[in-house]
Amino acid sequence: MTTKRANSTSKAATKKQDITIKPTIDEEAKAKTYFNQEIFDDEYKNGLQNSIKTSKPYHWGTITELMNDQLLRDVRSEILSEIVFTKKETDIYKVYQSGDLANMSGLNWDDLSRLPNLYKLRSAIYSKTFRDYISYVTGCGKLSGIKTDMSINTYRKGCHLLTHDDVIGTRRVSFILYMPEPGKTWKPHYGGSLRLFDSIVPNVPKSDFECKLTPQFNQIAFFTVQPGLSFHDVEEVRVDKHRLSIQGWFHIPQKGEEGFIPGEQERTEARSTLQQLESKGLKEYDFPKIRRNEISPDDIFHYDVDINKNLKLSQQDITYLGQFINPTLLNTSSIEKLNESFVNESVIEIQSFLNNEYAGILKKVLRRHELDGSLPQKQDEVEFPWKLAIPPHKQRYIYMDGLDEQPIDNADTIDFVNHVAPQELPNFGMTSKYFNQMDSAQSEKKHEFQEDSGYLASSKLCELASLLKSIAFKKWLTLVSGLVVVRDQILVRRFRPGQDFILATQLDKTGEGLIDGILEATLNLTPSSGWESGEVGGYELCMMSNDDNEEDDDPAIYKQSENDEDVLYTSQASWNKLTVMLRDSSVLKFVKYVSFNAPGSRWDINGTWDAKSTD
Amino acid sequence: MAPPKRPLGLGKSAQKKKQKTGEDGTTEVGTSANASELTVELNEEVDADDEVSQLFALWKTFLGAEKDNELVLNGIIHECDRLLRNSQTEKDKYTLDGEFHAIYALALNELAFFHAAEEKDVKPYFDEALERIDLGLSHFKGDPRLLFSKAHIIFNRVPLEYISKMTPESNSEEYPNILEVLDDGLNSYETAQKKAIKAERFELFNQETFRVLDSLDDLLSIIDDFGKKKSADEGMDSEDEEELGFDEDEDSLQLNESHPLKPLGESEKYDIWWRTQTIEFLKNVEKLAQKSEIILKDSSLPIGKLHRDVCRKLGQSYLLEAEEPSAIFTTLEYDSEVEDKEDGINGLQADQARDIAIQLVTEAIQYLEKAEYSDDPKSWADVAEAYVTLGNLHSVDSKEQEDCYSKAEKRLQHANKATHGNYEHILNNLLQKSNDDI
Repeated sequence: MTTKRANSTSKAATKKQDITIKPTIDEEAKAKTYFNQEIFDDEYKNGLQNSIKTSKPYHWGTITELMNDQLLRDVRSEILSEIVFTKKETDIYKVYQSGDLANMSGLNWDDLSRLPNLYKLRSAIYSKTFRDYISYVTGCGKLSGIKTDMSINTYRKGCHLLTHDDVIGTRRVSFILYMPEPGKTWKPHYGGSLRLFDSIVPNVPKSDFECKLTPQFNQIAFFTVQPGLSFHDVEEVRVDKHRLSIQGWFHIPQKGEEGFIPGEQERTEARSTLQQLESKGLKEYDFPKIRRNEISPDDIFHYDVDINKNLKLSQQDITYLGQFINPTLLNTSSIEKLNESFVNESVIEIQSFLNNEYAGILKKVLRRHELDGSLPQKQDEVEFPWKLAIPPHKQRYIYMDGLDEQPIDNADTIDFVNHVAPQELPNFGMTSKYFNQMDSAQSEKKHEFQEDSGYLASSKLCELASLLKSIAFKKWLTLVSGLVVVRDQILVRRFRPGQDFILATQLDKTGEGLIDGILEATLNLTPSSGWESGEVGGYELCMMSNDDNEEDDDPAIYKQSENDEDVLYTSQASWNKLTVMLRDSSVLKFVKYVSFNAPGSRWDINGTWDAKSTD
Repeated sequence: MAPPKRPLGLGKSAQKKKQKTGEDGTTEVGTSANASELTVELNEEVDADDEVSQLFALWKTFLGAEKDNELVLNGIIHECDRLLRNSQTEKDKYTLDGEFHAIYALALNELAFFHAAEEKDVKPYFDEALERIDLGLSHFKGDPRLLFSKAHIIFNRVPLEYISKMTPESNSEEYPNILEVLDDGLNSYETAQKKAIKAERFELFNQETFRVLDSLDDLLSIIDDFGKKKSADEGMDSEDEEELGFDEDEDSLQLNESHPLKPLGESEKYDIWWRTQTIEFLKNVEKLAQKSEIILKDSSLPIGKLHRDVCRKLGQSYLLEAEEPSAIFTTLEYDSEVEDKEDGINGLQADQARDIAIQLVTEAIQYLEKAEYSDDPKSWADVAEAYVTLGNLHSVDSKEQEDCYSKAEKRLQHANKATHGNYEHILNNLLQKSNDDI
């Protein structure tokens, strides 16, 4: 697996130098002939300008036959025969990328002679004629002809790029020129569409896309880069086909160019998404809230008092835990071995965590729901007790938190939830019982072939979440981890195929009296098989955060580690495995996007605990 | 109970290990991030100290891990070599049976795949593999496991060593007689099968032996596709495949009389052999299940999966065979541009072509239904698609057609729901078709 680090929601752009190509007068004159001449008709041009003005969710446009058809066919053949693509995968994308084309004019003549049509295409795109054209139809202002920025991508089956706004450095207009197989229609069910997202408020995209463009050969899509607004993604390619494209940006004019405004570059860069993401205010719109609840001191007493003397599970603890947990994990020698491994590695994986009987029933219930139930695809299809994790430039999955319903579909309802609504504590036990009753009531009326409502699945999962809230489990956790937990948050999560993920996040600093980092346990409950290779995503990955040299970084540069040693831990979606880790603040963690072609959803129960510092 | 100790934290302990590595030049390998670690599962009855049993377990692990680990494969070969040498000096300590020799030979055969791309000649790997088979057979005459393995090596050798070097202009004089080479493989397989049945060694009808038949199937596809234009390794769209009429020319290549593959391309002998043996194989799997009192339908045991895999392959092969008569029927029945319809195509009139196609698709459905598994929506969709094909062969609006479409629709609805819309476009096409017929 070639997963590398991603530090934010920005697009892949490896370190690039400012590019200086200056087309010759001859090239500039020829450039216009490389385009489909019809696009220069005033009627077409003004029609396009109008459609962009009225476009939703933000200003964007498309031209279906942009280039001279033969030229683009030749470009495509040239690319396929001359350019090598490498698979790149981070938390936010999986794509096959060429090297950077921007420096092409610096290549030697041999190389240029290998790619003559591509050279023509690039000079056409960055010609004054076309820059002025884009500037006119979008109303974005002048564009640089000397700072060019292009790469060739091919999206094969499973490739995707998650939601982001493209705001990096001095980008003014983003464009994608599509080159799937010419002469054939690229059908919507192939995937690979460009999807645009409206925003709840600036910097917070909605979870569902607003519009979708299924691209065809020789079609270009473009939009003005608008900080906090121009959110878009590339839908996963679902079939065994290649969606080749040239992706690039027009930048703001550079010094010496027409339209150059002193100070504009600095102002534009300052609006970088990376910085905005770090601003605290944005967390208002994050759901679920990272909120670990205080555990009562009376409860803590049960596992804290004897920690250095003779803490052990009572017979009553063992009887209770044994209803769920594999009994071999509850005896003293196993617990001591687990503690030893945990001390050495700071992470342990426990296979067959639940006992066979409980696991067997649960697996059937979950798989039946996957095969015979409905999978919510849009925000309004997610039904209580499940909730949707937002916003999608950080995460998307569905979860149960043991709390009441929280409508969060617009800024007003979110404001109500945050500032007005009752603030209660989770109660998984009650949720479990309620949905168990719902299931029984429905079972009495059940017809022969009926959709699975998921009530039983929800009930069973809440029952397990409740186990993680028990004093007995916390005692077991104390014995295994050596840590006394004082605050907790439990979430039951489902990562749906073709939809869900969590981008890399780092922990906030913990409070006074607490250890640096959190104790985290993930009970993997994915009932389907076929996840082992990681090809369909759904894995959890931890890596070192490298922010030592932050000051040297140009915000336009997307940090990417070339060093696989930075990967600390990977865990594929699996059945009945408990992972316990002590995650300190230097660790980034993400859950990889689950492919549309995954055999089912990734299911888990995630517990996070703050632990008491003994210093 | 001793007081529990506390860890450092995932990031901090990694940093500490890095520093430690820097200081003393050694690396500590943690269990957490060590992706290349390999878990070898031993059967419960196996003695963990028995080196030969360990080798067998390692071979199974290699096969189970998609056969993509050359390091493990090399390890297996070295271990085979070591055990073989030791067995000559310490005869009492090691008992090397037919299974051992088969694994040694098959491991060498697998090594050829890793070296096929960068090396011009993979001949030495296959020669050595067959030598190991001969060595085994010299000790265990007629051992079915060794004979199955010999067939496997031959079926791999033909495409990798011979066909990969061929061009459309190749001449049979430059190659050994491919028919004879292949026939040697077929004979070996047939003998193995007879001996396994006679000795009631039904356990040999397992996944590994099925791979022998699979490799022949692959080889026959390679021969079929030889010289054909390939469309940039992209998959076909199921909709593109539909409604294709009969096209005699297709993109097939006419090979010279002297081409080494010419006699193979014209003979149906090998396709028929493959199907006959695969049906026989299936019967033996069923016998094994019966002996072990296993109910195959919907079984999650490995034998259940094997049974479904074999059934699916057979179903697909009947569907493939039905394509030609089906296309002839469609062309004669619905293509208004075809002249002289009364002459038929390839000696078949529309009715005859339809009857043949219906018989073949019906046969296919029987196997595909056996391959249906409650946990695998694709298997439901496979049956549904076969029913659509069958429905298309029946008269428009007939009860038979409606029945077929209805069976297909029920399965597709279910599969589509289970896969969150993966079959939406196929389902829409089917519903469109049903509506058009109304």
